[in-house]
Amino acid sequence: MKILYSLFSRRRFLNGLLAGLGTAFAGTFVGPVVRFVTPPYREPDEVKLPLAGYKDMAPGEVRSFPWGIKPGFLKRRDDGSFLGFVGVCTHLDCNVAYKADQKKFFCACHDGWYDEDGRNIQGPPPTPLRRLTAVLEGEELVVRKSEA
Amino acid sequence: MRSRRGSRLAGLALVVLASCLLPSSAVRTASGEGLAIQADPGPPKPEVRTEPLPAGPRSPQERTAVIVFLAWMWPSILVLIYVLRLKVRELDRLASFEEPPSNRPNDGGPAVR
Amino acid sequence: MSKIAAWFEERLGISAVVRFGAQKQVPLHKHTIWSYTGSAILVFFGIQVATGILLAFYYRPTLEAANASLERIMTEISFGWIVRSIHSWSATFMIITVFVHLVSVALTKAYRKPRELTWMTGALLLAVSLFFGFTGYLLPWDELSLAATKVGTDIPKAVPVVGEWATKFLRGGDDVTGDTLSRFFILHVTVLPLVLLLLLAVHVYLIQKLGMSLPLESEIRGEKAPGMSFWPNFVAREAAVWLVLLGLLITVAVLFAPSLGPPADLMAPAPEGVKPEWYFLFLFQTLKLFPAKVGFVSGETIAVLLIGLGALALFLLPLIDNRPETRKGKIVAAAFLAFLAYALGMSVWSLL
Repeated sequence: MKILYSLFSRRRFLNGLLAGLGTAFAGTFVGPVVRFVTPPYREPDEVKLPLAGYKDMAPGEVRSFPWGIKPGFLKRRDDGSFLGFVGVCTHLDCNVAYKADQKKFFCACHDGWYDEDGRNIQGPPPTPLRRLTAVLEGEELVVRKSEA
Repeated sequence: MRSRRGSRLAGLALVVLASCLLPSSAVRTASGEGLAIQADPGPPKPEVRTEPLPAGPRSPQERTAVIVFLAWMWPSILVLIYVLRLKVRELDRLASFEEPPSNRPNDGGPAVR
Repeated sequence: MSKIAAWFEERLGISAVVRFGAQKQVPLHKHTIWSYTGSAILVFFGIQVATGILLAFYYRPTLEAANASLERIMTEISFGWIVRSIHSWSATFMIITVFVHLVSVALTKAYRKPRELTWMTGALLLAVSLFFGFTGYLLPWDELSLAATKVGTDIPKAVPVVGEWATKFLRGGDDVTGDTLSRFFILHVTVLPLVLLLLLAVHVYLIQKLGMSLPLESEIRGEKAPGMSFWPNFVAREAAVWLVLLGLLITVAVLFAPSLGPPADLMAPAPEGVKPEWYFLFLFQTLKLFPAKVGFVSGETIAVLLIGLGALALFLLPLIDNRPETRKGKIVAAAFLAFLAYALGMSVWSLL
């Protein structure tokens, strides 16, 4: 059976086709632009520190080190091994300070507190400080992103 | 009245002239008189690139992405132009109904032929 | 859907603009093809704005970091080399279309009364476009760009009275330094775009107000050329041209991406084979032609004054050619063609 008239005019069909194809064409430029404006993530996989600077740490002592472009902290455990933290508050990305007298990490932005093992204990921080693993390799202390 | 305007003009000319000359003279006096610079090798410079840096895809994936993009772009441009041509014909037909025949647009586009 | 459209229509009144576009007639005659050049320039300008913003996300306009930041764009950032290449090639394409636009308007004498101001704003837009190219050329801060900028900013010195100061102003001091880079960057990304948009607004307003010109012949004969509605008939045709130009630009940019020269060294001798961008070649060659001294004045001063006179004549062309249909008009047209031949010849010569 032949349809005598179209429910959908040729004009609207053409307009729709043009708009659709035009959008698809323009859309292909979005991907590369988004890729361009997203710079590669630059967190280091590992940081090597000379052991000499950290050998003399007493158990329980905390010292800072540069984790790429962020502050990092190293804590000496009682068994002599090291534990690393990324010194950035998990609330809103401020850098934290270590208060040696109270044995706590403090974030001044919104009054957030972490204990000496990086656990969030007071204020807005939702999770503990991110942990890093630190292992001795010869005369170097190698800090790595920790899995888990 | 006239003389007053004349003097005002002369004053304006003077200001313009002065503003042309002033900056250069001011700079001249200010530019390092009695400025002794000791040749100092300074800290050793970091390694500098001495060869031109060629531009191109940084990885095989990027090369493929670029080729795929070109291979997609040109056919879609051709299809778009084809549809535009259909649209142009329709628009011209519409216009020819509205306007007197003397004013009828002919097929004057260079690209859409 | 139509309710939303009606809501906006009630407040924005876009239909008035559409009606204006439909009323605006593009006259159809044997020179109509040149009407496509204006919007082509706008396409390239738009691409310049978009890619320029993208590049500025990573570019650093300092002596120490400029070249390295471009190196980062080209090696670290995804598709950075293409974005830079498109920006560089689109500049060239834009200048080409500007020249074609200018020559077509000059040869069809579309600048004649009452469109003198349209031409003059156009001439200023050309100057701004060239200044865009000149300031942009320095920004990669490589050997070539430093040498070209040293030469380019030295030229105003030859102008009597204000020249010395103009050079200092351009350079931000006696020499090309990091201050020059800051200055050129801010001119390139803020001052020139603003000036260009302002001039463009006047230029486009005048075209809407005065309508598009008819060929001189049909105006003399008092003919009424048939016309086509600007919107949507002409714009639909233009869109096809834009697509082809965009495709060509991207293809050329991908295949012939510009490399990045080694960082500029203020102490190093000028690299051999220094040449400015292609659109400055004829001026470059003109300057080479003049001897060191002509009588009591330096050859450079005479050359620069002549170039300035030429630019002024170009700017005032509609006033000089105020009777285009008479013998004087023919002489002006011949002079313009001679100038074109000169510019072309000089450019080719400098490449030999």
